[in-house]
Amino acid sequence: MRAEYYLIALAVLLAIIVVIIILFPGSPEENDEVGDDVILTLSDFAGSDYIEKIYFVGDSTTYHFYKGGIKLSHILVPDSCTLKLSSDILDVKVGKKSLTIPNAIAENKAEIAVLTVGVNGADSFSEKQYKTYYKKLICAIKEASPQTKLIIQSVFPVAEWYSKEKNGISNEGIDRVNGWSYELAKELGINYLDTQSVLKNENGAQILLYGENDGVHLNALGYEKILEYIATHAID
Amino acid sequence: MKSGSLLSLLLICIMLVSCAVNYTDSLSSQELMWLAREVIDTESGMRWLDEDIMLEFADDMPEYLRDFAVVRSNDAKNINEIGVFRAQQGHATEVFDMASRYIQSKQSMYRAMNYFPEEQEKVDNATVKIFGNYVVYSFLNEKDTSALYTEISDALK
Repeated sequence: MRAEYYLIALAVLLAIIVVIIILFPGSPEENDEVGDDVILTLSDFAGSDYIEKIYFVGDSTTYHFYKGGIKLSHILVPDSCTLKLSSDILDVKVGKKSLTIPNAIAENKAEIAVLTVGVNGADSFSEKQYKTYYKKLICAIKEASPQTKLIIQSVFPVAEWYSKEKNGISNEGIDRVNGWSYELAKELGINYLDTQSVLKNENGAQILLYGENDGVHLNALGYEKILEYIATHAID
Repeated sequence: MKSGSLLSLLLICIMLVSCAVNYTDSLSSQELMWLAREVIDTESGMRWLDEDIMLEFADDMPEYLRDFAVVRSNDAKNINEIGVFRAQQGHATEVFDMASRYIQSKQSMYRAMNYFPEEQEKVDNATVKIFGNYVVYSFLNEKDTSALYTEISDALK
């Protein structure tokens, strides 16, 4: 008889635990947008309406999205066109104004924002440094513009010759920061665009057909490829 | 090997010169930075960076550091930056090494991307100096660099 009471008590306890897990799956900061699988998978072609909703945030590799037909008003980059993740959040140009990245996204009431940062300093970042700074930026954007759906996009590969020149940006470094970005996307429950996968050759470097002569930036064909990937890996 | 020896000699020279002058240790890095900023041409203003900036120098806050202050230009096209560190007694060389590594890394980045051709002078002019227990680095033009180090030296004498 006594054993039965214990069994009932144990069953009640387990039921309570199950209810708690269902009701409180995790803190909102950890995962408030997407499920465990944050990588955006193949979807129906979302078309230009979807692309037009997106604001692109980043460095010069983001600025060059204009080559793919993106309006400059939807490209948020610093005045200098370069951006290295740091403890301070840089300003970007919005018309004639200078606003911080989070405020620029909020002011534009961006429905979707794609972040592509990390190429500058790719070889020198430590994991702690990279994740701390990226998280800081993401949290500031979420606070300023909670309705905006964020997407972390992988950094694009550079040409094989450039990667070997020890300029502080190698494809090994880029792969490393992309891995950290993906882990961060999972931790924060943010969608991740694995765009770099369609820009790489068999050696893990930039497909030269998509690249400018400088070894880093992409040409119009490269951005067409990227936008096609984004439109076919859309969020719901 | 040769460049390593030269670097060591240079470091010893810097240490000897800095030891020859008796610098006070009573100002915090922030106080020193306030004084330094007064002599720099800051048309666009400079902003103070929070403690996360230290991750650009080391993954964990070095024990040999007492305090620090880093400021950068508010203008994204201007690479002006000053860092002031106060080391624990006898640890200025470790801080000097840390700041030197940081400067070299930033110089490489600026040179590789070449986004700031008009700022090249500041990239080439980047310097780290020891003043007793203080280590100061800067990305400034020649005039501001000279004014900065004179002010720092005067303030600590």
